[in-house]
Amino acid sequence: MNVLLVEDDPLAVDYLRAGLAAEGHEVSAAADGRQGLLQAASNDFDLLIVDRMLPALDGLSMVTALRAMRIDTPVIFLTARGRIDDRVEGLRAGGDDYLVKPFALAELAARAAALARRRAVIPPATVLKVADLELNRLSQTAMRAQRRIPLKPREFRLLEYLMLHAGQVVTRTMLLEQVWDFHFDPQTSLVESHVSRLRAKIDRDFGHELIHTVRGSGYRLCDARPA
Amino acid sequence: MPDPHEADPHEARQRQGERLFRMASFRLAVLGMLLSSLGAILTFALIYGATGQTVRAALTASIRDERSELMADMRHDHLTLAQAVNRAIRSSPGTFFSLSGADDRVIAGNLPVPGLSYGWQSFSRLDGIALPAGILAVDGMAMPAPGGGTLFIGKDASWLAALNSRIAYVFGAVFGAMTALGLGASLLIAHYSLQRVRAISDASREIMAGDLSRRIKLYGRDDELDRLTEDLNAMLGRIQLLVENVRQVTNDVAHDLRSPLTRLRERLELARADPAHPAAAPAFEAALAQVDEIVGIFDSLLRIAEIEASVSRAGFVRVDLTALLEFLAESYETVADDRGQSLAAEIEAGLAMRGERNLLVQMLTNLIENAIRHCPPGSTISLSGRRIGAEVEILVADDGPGVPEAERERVLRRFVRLDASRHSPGNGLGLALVSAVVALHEGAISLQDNTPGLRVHLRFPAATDRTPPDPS
Repeated sequence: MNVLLVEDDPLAVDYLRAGLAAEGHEVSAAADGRQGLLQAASNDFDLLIVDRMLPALDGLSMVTALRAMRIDTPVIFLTARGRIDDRVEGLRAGGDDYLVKPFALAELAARAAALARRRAVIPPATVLKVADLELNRLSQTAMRAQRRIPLKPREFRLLEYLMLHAGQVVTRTMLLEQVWDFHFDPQTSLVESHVSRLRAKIDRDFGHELIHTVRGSGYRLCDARPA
Repeated sequence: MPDPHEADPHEARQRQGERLFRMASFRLAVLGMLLSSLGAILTFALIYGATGQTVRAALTASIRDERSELMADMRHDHLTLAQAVNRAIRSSPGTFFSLSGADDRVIAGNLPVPGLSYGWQSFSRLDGIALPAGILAVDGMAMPAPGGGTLFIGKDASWLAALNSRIAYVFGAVFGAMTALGLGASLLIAHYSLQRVRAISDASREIMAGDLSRRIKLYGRDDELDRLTEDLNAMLGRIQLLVENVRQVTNDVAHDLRSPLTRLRERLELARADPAHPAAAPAFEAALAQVDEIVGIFDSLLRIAEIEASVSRAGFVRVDLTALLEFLAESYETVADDRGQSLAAEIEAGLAMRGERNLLVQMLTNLIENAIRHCPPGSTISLSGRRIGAEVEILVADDGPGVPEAERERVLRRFVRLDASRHSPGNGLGLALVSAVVALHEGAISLQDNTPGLRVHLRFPAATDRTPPDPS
């Protein structure tokens, strides 16, 4: 994946570059908003990672300008400000995701992958399918091996999100944001409890597991048997 | 967006009228008016009485003369009293006589009034006595007649009646004008001070709604209200400065502390991934967890400071509490279940309030998680919501160890944890955040004994039906 990193702090650039390169991404960097805007407008990137506080042109204005130019490359904002309003502001300006510093590289990698894929993906289908697991988003039902699996509303949303991102790592924070709309860190094992409940329903009585735990990152739903 | 709490104009006008009559200045003015009216009535009574007395004194003298003359006539001309009276009627016009015998029958006189008792008498047409034409009133004295019976001698008192009615008329006019003027003045005074008080309370409300730069308008009269306004404005300036300082410091701290923490975390993470020292990875892992914990505490503190310094309710929307509580109950049922606890929910339909959804979610989550974390397996946690009058009541209760009464106020503060729970996870900021969110939403929180266990009782103003629904 071709990533443009717009960040003025050289240490942060090194860190992010190292982290993203380890995931196999090509990383270009711009040190201020104006350069970032020029580069993003003249090259075809798969993803922009933009710090909000930048010299010359701040990140928010840069992305607003890009969107005005009808460039819809996915954008992840990075910020040192974690206020609720800031997040909303960032998404409104055309950002696709928002990460508050400090964050784990695994978190950034998972979100980058989710965004890049979303760009390539065909409009979401009504029926999601992974191996013999089927999820009908209209009738809100799940089946595995032709057997109907009863799911509670939150379990359904969780499975839907995992299936929409089948094959990708989905972090705990992503699940909290997308399934629960929680923008804080709960002090109990909310995500873990639901994932294990979901596993008991869709995995336990069937041949092989579909939901895999990715150590230190999160979960991945995929057909592939562990290599 | 129009303020949904604003009533329709008719209701507002009515309320304003009511307020006018309830105002202290109006009451004072009316009281003053009542007191001065009382003085006026007293003056009138005194004038009226004094006039009457003076006139009576003058009349008494002339009635005595009349009587002496009658007696003299009787003696000189050997007349009966009746004959003397009849002669006197002819000789003294404007004088009225009534002579009745011992049997109370009128024997003689030009103003026959039977059955008089002795003493001063006043007659007017109002008493049903036929007075001669042109005579409005007769005042006189009834006295024992020589040889038995009653003799009344009276004088034309028309001028006195005219005088009295003139006095009453003038007084009535003056009194009426005074009352009307007084009432009008009271209303004006009340209206004027209501306006000035309203200017103060309007400004206060706008300031509480988030406009900290708002000041109260001065009237330029240099009176006590202007001086009060100046003091209030000075105070508001200071509050604005303090709040801005807090915001500034919070932002600075947020940035200045976050940067090194971010660096630290980045370095630790790069070091952990270093293939040259695979054995050190677990140590870096532990260090990263510590950094994350510090960042967590730091974020919570900033979040609380942000909420406490936030006075703006501009971002408030109508929040469907029934849906929110049911969603949280469903989510945490699983967590409680995994810990061998049970979570029971009893949520009324149609609960709604105005607020910031994210903050309300975090507030309720903190309370539910507190209960789950501090209760042993086998406990029951209950979440309930209902409407009571104009308020919404939310209860988060458990049958766990509870909080001793002496500690209940204290645990709402930052970093306060019960000694017994010191070793359990948590940073002592959960309830501080809850109480900041409650305060921002103009609610009330109290921690109560659930015998056994803890019951957190929350109350918020319910959203009115006119509140527009959450657009999201």
